[in-house]
Amino acid sequence: MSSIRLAWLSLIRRPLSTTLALAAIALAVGGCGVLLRLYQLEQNRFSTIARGSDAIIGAKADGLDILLGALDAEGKYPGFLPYKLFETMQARASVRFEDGADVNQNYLKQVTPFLYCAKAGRFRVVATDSTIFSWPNYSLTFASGRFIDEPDQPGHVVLGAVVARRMNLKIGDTVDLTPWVGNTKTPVPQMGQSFTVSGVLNSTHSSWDRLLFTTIADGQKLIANEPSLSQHSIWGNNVLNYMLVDLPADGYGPIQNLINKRTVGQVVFTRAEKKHLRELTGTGQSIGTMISILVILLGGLAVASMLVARFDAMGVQLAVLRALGYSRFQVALALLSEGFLLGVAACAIGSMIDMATFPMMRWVLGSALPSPDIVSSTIWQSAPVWLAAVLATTASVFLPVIKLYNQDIHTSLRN
Amino acid sequence: MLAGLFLPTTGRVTVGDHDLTAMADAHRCQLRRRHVGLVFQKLNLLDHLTATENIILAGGVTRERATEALKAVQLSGRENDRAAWLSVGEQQRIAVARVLAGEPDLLFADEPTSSLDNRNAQFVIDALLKAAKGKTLIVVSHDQRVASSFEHVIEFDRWAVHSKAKGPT
Repeated sequence: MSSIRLAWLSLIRRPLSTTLALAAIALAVGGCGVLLRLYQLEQNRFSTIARGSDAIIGAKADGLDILLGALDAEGKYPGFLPYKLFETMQARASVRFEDGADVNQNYLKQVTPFLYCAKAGRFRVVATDSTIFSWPNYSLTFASGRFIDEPDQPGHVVLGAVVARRMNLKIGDTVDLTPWVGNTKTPVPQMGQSFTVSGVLNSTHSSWDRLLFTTIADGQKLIANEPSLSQHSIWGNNVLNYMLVDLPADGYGPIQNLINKRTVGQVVFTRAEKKHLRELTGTGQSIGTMISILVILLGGLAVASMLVARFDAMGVQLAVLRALGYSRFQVALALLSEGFLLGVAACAIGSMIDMATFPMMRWVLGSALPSPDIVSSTIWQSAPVWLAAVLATTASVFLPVIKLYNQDIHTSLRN
Repeated sequence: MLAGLFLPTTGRVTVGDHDLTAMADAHRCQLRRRHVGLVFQKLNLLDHLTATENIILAGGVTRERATEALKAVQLSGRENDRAAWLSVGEQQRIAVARVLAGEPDLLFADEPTSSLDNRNAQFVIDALLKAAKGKTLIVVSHDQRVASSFEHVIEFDRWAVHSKAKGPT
């Protein structure tokens, strides 16, 4: 009888022991696979923050709220800024304040308006202008079409790559936009308007991919249809949520002085806020990583001890095989095959557990992880766990194999 | 020791032309597999294997040959029963069938009838003697009736060893 046949029979003819070992390893593999994938996603939690601007001006709020609201398209609906402020900054006009201060704005390189004005399904629509597509250091490129912002051609949108893919839209198609100013959880579709797709962006693997872009004029018209706007804005629909600003090296101080001290807005610097974010989440990530490693280690040790006990209990069986003329190599091969088969079967079941539970875990963790639209996670990302499990189950045979090589057959049989 | 399961600390063990003490372990295994049949006192069947599978563990035994051997020890129809499900007497007969199926040149049987009634014991001894025709069969037994079936009996009585040869049975 071949070594592999012996291994196979040993597995299937001890159903209780095999099922227990299989279940323990499969659960460990499934659990570790999910942990590994969550860890990988968590590492990418803020990789989806869009690039582009040096600073963001928003309504007074926490700096991280402004950063994530503007560049990661997440969080609650942000507060409003008067559109006049944008016009002033865009014109680079000098501003004279009542206290006599005179601020010149020639330090601005680029200012881009940014207004969340509607939703298309679950995707946010941003009203902006063409400057958003061409930052001095970073450009959004079009896969097809263009951004139409001529006043005589209203009702056009540009789609982020994920939006186009998920909603299966292309140039010339229409998409229904429902006004959104954050007053209701579910925007009322009856107030919506159909817009025509004029362009589709290439993927940036950032939050830009999850947005639709229309003109400021169209965006402000959309929110004007929202009855609750007056409760949120003292400036009517003549508003913005953010201004994305590009600055020269010496522009940081003056803009902070202007915006934070003298307007309803607040400026945050993108690089500094990202650093702040990393510092805040770094400790949590380290603890999470340590706990994950500990769980994986404990699971691995529990399974290893179970397997070592299983193979160790086979002393007499191995002695019988040796007495019947099986060489040490043949018996060792049978043991290794049994460990390998057990590992492979457990990985197959573990991967199914992984596939079944991962979406649920991702849903439970919600915004603690990057959006599935931007950062996907496939079952193959658990492959290192499978490899480790197969190696570990095979390696757990080593102790009995070492004993086999030193076994006194006569004593083992007599006892 | 004669089967090469363990080696003496001094001296030599020779089986036929083969010096077991001078052989590598792999060669001793090969020799055991091809030329030696063992019936252990504790039977040492693998509980999770069927009667047939326990028999074909012995080297070069086909399924057909295993079925024939089971028939020879009156266990026809029990081919697919696991060893653990059988009585001790039946297990003992499987252990004997394993030796019969392997057709070895040298047979060792340690108390091969210890768990059998008189009728089955005689049946097993007859089967072993039949399989050992023209070969060497060494049986260890406390049962005088078993001893009486053999050509050459060596008695161990405390420290004394008595050897007596008889005519063939």
